[in-house]
Amino acid sequence: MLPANLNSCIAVKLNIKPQQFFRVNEINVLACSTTGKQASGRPLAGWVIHAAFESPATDYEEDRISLDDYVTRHPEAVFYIRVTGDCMTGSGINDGDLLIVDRSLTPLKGDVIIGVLNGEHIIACYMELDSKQYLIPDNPAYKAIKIEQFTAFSIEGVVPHTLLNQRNQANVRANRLQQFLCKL
Amino acid sequence: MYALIDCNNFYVSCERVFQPELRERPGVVLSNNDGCAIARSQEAKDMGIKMGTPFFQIQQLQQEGKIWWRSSNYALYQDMMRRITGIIGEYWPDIEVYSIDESFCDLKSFSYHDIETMAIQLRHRIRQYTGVPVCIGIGPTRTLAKVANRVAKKHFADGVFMIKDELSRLFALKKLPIEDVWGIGPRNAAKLMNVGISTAWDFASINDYEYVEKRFTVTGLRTWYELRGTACLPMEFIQPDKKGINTGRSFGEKTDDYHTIEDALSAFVQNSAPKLREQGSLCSRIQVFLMTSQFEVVQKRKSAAWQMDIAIPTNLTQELLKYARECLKHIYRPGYPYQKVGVYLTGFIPEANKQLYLLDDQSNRERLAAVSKLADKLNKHFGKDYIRFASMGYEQPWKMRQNFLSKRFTTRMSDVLKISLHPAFIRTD
Repeated sequence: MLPANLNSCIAVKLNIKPQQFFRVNEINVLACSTTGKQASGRPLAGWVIHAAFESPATDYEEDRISLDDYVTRHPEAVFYIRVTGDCMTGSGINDGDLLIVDRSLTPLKGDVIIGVLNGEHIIACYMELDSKQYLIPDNPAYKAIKIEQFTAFSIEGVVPHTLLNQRNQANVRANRLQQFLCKL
Repeated sequence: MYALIDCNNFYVSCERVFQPELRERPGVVLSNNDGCAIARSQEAKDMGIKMGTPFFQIQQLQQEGKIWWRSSNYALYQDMMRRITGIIGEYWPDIEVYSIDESFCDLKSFSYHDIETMAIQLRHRIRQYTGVPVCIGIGPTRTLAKVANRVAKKHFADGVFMIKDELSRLFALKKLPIEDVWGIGPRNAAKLMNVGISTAWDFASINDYEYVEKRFTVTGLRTWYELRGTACLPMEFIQPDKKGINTGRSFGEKTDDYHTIEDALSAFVQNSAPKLREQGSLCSRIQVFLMTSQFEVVQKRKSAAWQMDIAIPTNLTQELLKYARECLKHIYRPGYPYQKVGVYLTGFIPEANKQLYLLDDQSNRERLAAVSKLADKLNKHFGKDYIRFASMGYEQPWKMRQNFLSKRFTTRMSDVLKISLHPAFIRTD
């Protein structure tokens, strides 16, 4: 036999009232202690129901959408960087934005890439023309760079996604929208 | 067939991935406490810098030429190793991580594949995905895979070498001095040199099984078999549980202050206890050692250890701290310039077979265990010592010297690599 206070022990652990637990019989409790390992990310409630009435949806449980899975297709090859400066504003990359760098991707024309030019990291748009490589800042305020034959340059990775901090822009946007409202 | 994948100058390569200004320049990574060089770039090796060269000598070289150095950044190296292991696992799933920069793979499920081509692809992929260069050696035994790896590193530009027939075995073994063979210690090497055996080939060509066993015991015999192409060393896919955990380090500066020593000891206990919990063991014996430098004048030299059996085996930091402190009290004497303190946990028993004791407050123990578990989790997520006991002290004058530490680029959001405007970009106006 199980000790009399076991239900209340479990109830305390699960943070519910012991009365809610009255349907739990011996077998269910045993099942719950062997199989009911609380997996991370799963709600604790599912665990309780499991002991009394099993959820009709248990067989249909799927993993929650994970941004990590979506962005990092090759977790071994993905690194993060932060950009300072304004040379990529045309591609929606602003000062302080977080970039995802995937080293497994092959750069195509027009990709945003991270490279090393003369021993220093560089972020730019990658272009090819007449089998020559170019690094182009996406901001008309800067000049493009042509990669000559003996330039010390290598591509480190492609930037497939960027994280733009919309809240950092809130002030600027508010000012802009203010004018729009005035026109109404 | 077995493969050995070995990273070239691993620590140095990791530093260079994120700090391109270090590439193509000689450099070293320093040991704990920034004492000496433990990893060297190829350029540094070419300069004649030896493993273990003291830091002050390297600093002198700085005045002559351009050499860089970094403290060892284990958080970074561990993550890079995890990435590399992941990539290898996609190619060859039967993998044994042998050390932080070496992995063995069992290729018996790939006997109908072109292993050499796969190896070249894998090497290329690791380089592209992580930026770390590796060499791959392949052979019919683990020892020969290790030999092949050495050949790949020294003689082949594409970094892959496979011992696939008698000719390639001869080529690899003839070049290999006997003292560099895996499994031949310096003493056996000297013995072999005495009888005129100077290369691995000479050793493998001995045709007398009994002679080898008599002179070089079973370890030597195993190596002999392995060099001849008979596999004797099985793969160890699961790391065996540790039998003991030893944590001890030199202080940043020598001290005879009891509280400083106690703080350091507390920190080491707190380092060891999570390892114990991770492998699900309880510790039933604790040993604390305290010593001065062995180069101290004789009157100032002291080395002592105290061992204690723990009545109720435990893996709780709180309890281990209490025992460690008790041990320290027994051996500490004022007036000596102590350099090193450490703790050795041993006598492990599996947590599952623990005995319950009549006079022990089990519920309190469970609560403490829950706290420890949570603290371990937080420390893993936020970095070492995020949650710690106050007894570790706050100023930590004994702390490791790590004055040249690079950032933890891959494990901390605050340490993520920053890229600013490249000087080659010129304004149009």
